[in-house]
Amino acid sequence: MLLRLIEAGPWVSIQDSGRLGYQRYGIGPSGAMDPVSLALANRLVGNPPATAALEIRAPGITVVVEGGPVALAVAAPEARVALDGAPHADNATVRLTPGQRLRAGPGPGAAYAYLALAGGFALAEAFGSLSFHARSGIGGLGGRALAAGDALPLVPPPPAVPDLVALAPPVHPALGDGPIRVIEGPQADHLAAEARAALYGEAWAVQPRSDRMGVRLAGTRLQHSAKGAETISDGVVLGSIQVPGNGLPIVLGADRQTTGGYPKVAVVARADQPRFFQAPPGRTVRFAPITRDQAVAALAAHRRAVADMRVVPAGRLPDTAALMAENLIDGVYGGERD
Amino acid sequence: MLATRVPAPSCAPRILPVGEAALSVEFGDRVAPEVNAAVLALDALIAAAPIAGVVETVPTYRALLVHFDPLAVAPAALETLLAPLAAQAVAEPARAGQGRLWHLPVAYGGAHGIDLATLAARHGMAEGEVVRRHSAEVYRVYMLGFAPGFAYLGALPAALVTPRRAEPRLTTPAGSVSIGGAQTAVTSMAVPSGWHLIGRTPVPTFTPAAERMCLFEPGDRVQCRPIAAADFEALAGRIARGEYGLVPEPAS
Repeated sequence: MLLRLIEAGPWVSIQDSGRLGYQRYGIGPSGAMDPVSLALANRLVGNPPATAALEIRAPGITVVVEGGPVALAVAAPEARVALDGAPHADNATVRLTPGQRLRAGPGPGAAYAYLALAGGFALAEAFGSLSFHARSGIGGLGGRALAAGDALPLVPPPPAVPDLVALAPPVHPALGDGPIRVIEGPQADHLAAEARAALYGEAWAVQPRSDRMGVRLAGTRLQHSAKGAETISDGVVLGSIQVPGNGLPIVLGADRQTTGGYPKVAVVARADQPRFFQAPPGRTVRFAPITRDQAVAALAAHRRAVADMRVVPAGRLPDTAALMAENLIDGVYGGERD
Repeated sequence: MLATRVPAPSCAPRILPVGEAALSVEFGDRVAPEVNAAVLALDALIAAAPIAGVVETVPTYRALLVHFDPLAVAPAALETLLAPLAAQAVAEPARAGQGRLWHLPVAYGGAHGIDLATLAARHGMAEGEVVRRHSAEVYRVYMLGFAPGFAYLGALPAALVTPRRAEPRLTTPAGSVSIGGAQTAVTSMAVPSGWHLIGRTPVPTFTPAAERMCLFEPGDRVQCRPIAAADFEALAGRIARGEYGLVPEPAS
């Protein structure tokens, strides 16, 4: 079985939870920018939560399946899903049969959507992961960027995949407003005092040039202290906020370089990383400093929330809105569910 | 060979939080072999006796970044575990030993080093003098970073120190030997770069399919061996046919 990409480009890639242990060689971890949505997409098709899926940015993709029907799901804080042009519920199981065209991508309120298929891709891992890393030329489909026309081999799907929907609200524990929490350091002393205040006092707009390597922010230009805008290159982490010479922060993403020489003035708390990276271009965010202990407590709560993320059979939703969603699903799929 | 005594780093190690899931153990604020030796010694100590919850370590010039799961090991507890190991690494940097010595064939200048002529003119030297000085040095591989297998070498002779180009190039060929500030590097793949390209090696330094994907390890030593442009092509052909592989002198 194959998933054929009809409309696709470098804005879509295969991602799982990434690869650990190779940063010492200059190979970053890669992996999903929003592992919560990745896990949700996988749960909706009965896969282990970190199974590789298609990570999709705007403007989205169009795919068809060849060789048999497949169950899939598109998850995001807000996703656009359409089957043969008809809108379909997001964060729910979708049946795609040969001949049908599925269009999927993030909605205007999100940066990334995840398309998971029951069974997953029949592709070879590179260094323990299917995650594509462009600069290394590894992972995904033979280490190269995806393009229209590509055919992705699928593991034969399991025989019975139930129709599931994510319980809403909230579909996505990473949703929620409020400032993005950060832990200061390790090089916060490279910012002048006023700049440090501005980092937490001002609003920051996500720039369109943001990508998996880093989220570029526009706002007040931050002045460096006498320590300057360069450090001896050292290791960076996911969510490192670095401030280069132009004073505009860049938050490092999953495809970051493994080392960097710009001052790293703070780190986005892990609990808030999926929410931060899901901010689409144009969205403004604010940062609030918290202690490391608070960040660890927030991470524990975040992991519990992700573990508790519920998906339920499409036919057993308790409320009216959900029943309407069920009817929509039945209408589209002819009652294929259990 | 090169049995120089390694002086102890002048700074006591500092342990800094990098978010809630990483710690940076800094051994100083300078690029120096003895500082880097302490970094690699701590890396080796952790590798020899893994700490529960630690998922990955990343050695760089003067710091070891320790990634961990803060729900598996509390950050403060990990700091307590790392402090004595860092002190031990300072006391015994020789644990990292003298790395392997690579004699790397490099075609300098011409099409393989398009910035050699301007760089030489800038320093008031003949091109051959730049090549002589650059290839006389035994460099330390301080770290791999920026891109897979990209090796940062140092220290560059003071006479060759050159600020980076004002306009970075969007791409530079794999195997480029370049100078940026007080550093020199061997690039492993086509990457954007603002460094000056003075030569190129036909020896691949990053081979994802190989069992040892990176030719160099941090702590290795590299000396460039000038070869003619014609030899570059011949060697590249032999490498492509699997007839040639660079073998280092072993570590001591």
